[in-house]
Amino acid sequence: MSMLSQICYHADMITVLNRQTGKTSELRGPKTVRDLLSALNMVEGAVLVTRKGELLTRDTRVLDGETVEIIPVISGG
Amino acid sequence: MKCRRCGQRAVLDLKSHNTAFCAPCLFSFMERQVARAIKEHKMFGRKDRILVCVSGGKDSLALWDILLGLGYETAGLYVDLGIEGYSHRSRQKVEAFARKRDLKTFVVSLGEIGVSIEVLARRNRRAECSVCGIVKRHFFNRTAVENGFTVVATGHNLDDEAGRLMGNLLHWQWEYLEKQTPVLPAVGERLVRKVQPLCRLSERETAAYAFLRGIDYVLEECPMSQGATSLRYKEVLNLLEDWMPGIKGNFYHGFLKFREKLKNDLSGPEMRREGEASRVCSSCGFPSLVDPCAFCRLTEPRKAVGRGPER
Repeated sequence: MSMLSQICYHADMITVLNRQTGKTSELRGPKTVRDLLSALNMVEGAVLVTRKGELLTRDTRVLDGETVEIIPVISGG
Repeated sequence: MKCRRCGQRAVLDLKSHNTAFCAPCLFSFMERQVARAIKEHKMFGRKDRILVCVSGGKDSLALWDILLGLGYETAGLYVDLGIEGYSHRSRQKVEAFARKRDLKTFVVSLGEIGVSIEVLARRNRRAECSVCGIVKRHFFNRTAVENGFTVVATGHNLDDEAGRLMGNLLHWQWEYLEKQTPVLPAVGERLVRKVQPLCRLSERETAAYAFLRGIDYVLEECPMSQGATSLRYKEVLNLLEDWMPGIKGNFYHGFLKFREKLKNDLSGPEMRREGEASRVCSSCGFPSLVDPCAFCRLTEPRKAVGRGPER
């Protein structure tokens, strides 16, 4: 079973999936990507945000019922 | 948001450059940044054979892809560090990338000499990341020398180098500051040139490139790097970058300019590497400032300093 298919969706919220940790969270929409990251306490430079396999810029609006994925970009030791 | 070059829908906004790009324009931008770094720092030419050190992560695979796009002669090197699960998965990513493009890949396994990063770190009482660096640098150079490559290229990006600079400055590690440059020149026949062609690109840019190009890279973090100080420096720099777009690039590239100005006053990595070339490790035969070299001291138990119990 894929990671996405295990998620219980709520039509009245934005679902956020972290691709690195597999963890999900939900936020009230609509929100721009910038506001969404701010609500998650994330810095824009540290992540990419995708929806349906497409990268989103910080001004993109995400609506309730939609799922976005966060791809952390910081690596190395 | 629209692409500043062609007006199509943008996929990545870059506050540091006050711009945004669609996928094709981002690829073009990144190729130009790599080409500029290669030219500006005289990294290599068309006749060079380049060994690209690939970890299975986004940066090194993106670098390999970009160098191929720019038409350079390359092969890959993967160092299997024997980290349970992680090494196997990252090796698979490298091999799949190379297979898809019909590219030559060398694989060197630390397990072949009967040790692992964990054992070496414990035995020498050093952090895993420090041990890993010594091991990889040794194999990068050794594989290049033994297979006729003139250049070793790594996927270190702007974030890596800005973070490293911050650490070196906070601790005033003068010796490391001397060596912090995107090009370490070749010295003699057994110490090849080392270059960092991604030094002008952030890791968000390389991640976007890998994503958009469909490069399947290992997304999970190396389990050894959890809590590493270098990651803290990157977090701090990302916060600064959020408040002051472009500050990361100013910090690192400003340092390189400053370093150039001071070069005459410093012993410089060139001289240091000349020193390395003039002495040879009696154990492995490769150039080193000390005998035995850092790699052999790590891997030869009898000569290890402060050895702890092995489990």
